[in-house]
Amino acid sequence: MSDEPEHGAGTEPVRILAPDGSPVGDADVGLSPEELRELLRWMVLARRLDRECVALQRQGELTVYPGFEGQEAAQVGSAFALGQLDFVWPTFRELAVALVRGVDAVQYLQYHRGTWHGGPYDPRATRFGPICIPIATQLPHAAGYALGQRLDGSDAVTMAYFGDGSTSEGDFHEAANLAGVWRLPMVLFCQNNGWAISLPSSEQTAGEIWRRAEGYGFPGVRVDGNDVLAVHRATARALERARRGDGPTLIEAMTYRIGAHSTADDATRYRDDAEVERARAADPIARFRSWLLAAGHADDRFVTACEEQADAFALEVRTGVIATPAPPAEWMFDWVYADPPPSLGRQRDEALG
Amino acid sequence: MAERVFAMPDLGEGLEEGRIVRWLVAEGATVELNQPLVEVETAKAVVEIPSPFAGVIQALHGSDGEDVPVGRPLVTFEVTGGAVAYHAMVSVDQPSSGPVPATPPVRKLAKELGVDIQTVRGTGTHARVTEEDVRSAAEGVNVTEPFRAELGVSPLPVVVAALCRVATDHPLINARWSSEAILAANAINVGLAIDTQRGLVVAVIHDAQALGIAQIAAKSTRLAEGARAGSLTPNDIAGATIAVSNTGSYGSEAGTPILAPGTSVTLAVGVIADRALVVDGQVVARPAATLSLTFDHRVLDGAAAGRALTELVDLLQSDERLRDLPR
Repeated sequence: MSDEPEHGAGTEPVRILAPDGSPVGDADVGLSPEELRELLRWMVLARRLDRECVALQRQGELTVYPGFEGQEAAQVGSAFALGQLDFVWPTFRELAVALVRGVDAVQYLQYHRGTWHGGPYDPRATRFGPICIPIATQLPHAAGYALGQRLDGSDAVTMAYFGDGSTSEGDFHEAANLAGVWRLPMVLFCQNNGWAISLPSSEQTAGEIWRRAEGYGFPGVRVDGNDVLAVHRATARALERARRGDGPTLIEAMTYRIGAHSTADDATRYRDDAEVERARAADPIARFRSWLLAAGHADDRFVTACEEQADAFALEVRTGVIATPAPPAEWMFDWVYADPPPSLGRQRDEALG
Repeated sequence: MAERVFAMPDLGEGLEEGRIVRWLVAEGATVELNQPLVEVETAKAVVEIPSPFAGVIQALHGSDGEDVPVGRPLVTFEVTGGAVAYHAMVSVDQPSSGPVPATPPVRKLAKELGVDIQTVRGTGTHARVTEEDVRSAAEGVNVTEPFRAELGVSPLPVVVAALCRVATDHPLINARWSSEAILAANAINVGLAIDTQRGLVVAVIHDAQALGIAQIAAKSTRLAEGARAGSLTPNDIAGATIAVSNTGSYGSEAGTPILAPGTSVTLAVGVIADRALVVDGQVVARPAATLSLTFDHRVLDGAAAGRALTELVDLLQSDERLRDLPR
């Protein structure tokens, strides 16, 4: 592995805070001190819930769970920039985005509990689409939705999340090409976390993902995905551009997947511990907390309160997840076809007795 | 305080078992929620299992290097608070609450014979439960022996066939709890608890209601051999709708088996041995066994379980009804 380029080699990403939390750019991203504290609160909450979800899977309460530890700044920073009517098309690793959008965590996790495909939350009310497991298939949907938004005369924007692995899929190309040629009100937000399951990004693609935007005729930007301020500013600018009708932006947020691909994966089989340790040293929460305290926008008491809130929230979600009943088995059959074929009727009778 | 059993979860996507790498806690230890309990290796990964409860570790089931099938008990906890036990020893509630009248020696005898004294109708003064009442409640199996000897099979296949017959008339013992509803199964898939060097394995005779005693015997032999050789297929251990534990095979009089996932009833068959039984007013030595039923109270109550068990005992004690079972 040592002869491969390190994750994030090449173009230096746009950054506001250095990994130690010291500002290296203009830290005024247009957020009030209260909003800045909110960013930390969401990140702490998201990480705590993420760890609880891994524990719940180990305890047999969730079937499988894809963790996002390390990606809190990329998710919270971008989601926090969204307007109320903007619509999110997520992958399966955007729980932090879902939280910021107001999706009920217990409802969201029903997907991972195996009791409901896609989660019973209302995508229209939360403006957060169904969890998408197949890689990149949400991107053409997002492009189509963005076109619909424009035809509706709305100034809302479509926010499409995807990972580095998605950019090797045809669906990414088709969506990006349409976004460019139709100047769709859309932001293509790539979290480059270094790994597509066990494939490092260096083996995934020979170029830099953000540069592909030029080929599609719209701007691309590479941002430090562990710097919540830089992510927020880049996303806010891209949303604003889309909202005023100037078309899409591709954001490549350089981050890192601290955990395994999912609870069914063992990353130690293909990845050096040293690499993970280096990534931990660039922890997005520690970086932002350190700046927030130094800038005087928050104090230790606020930090402790965030952690206590997060513990209580995790326990509440745990209790809710465990208490979630399985829906009636007949629903599996009731909502598949408008006019069920006889073969399905037989299966239904057999299953329900 | 309540007892909670934590079973081996499916740690991957559709895994069958996990191997205990090492325990991180000891029996008797007090643990917090999410405190690491054990390192387990699956076909996919080595993972640490965090504790699902806060409480005291009562028992660790399995030792380092042991493979534990998904759904088999891994840790028993003593949990503080309102935890609800998910299995119960057969205990038919009397309509009138409170203990039935009986002397301490009779209570002790009932305990030894695995009889829940609350279920016994007392024939003594003031409806006091007598020693005889307890002994007749201990259900002597005394006609099964000649019948099974005639067929050339061990007692277990006869019990399995009889259980299938009973389950046909008492579908609740072949049903399961699904949070929203009680689901009765069409097929009777009998899980057999088989003792192996790597621990207990529950192997399944599918569609046992459609099989004769000889076929059940042949299948259980194959499953037992497969379990001991470790050559069972996933299908061999999946889909049990009811279970039988032959606790008599290792000499126990009675047992309180744990329910296998997906089942609501486990029948424990105690050792068959000569007992002093009262037949027509005379104490005689007859081969007998104690049957005990663990059942899920959410699916069937004590009365329903008791009726099914009584029915099973009647069947096993009736030469005529035994001969009516499919051979």
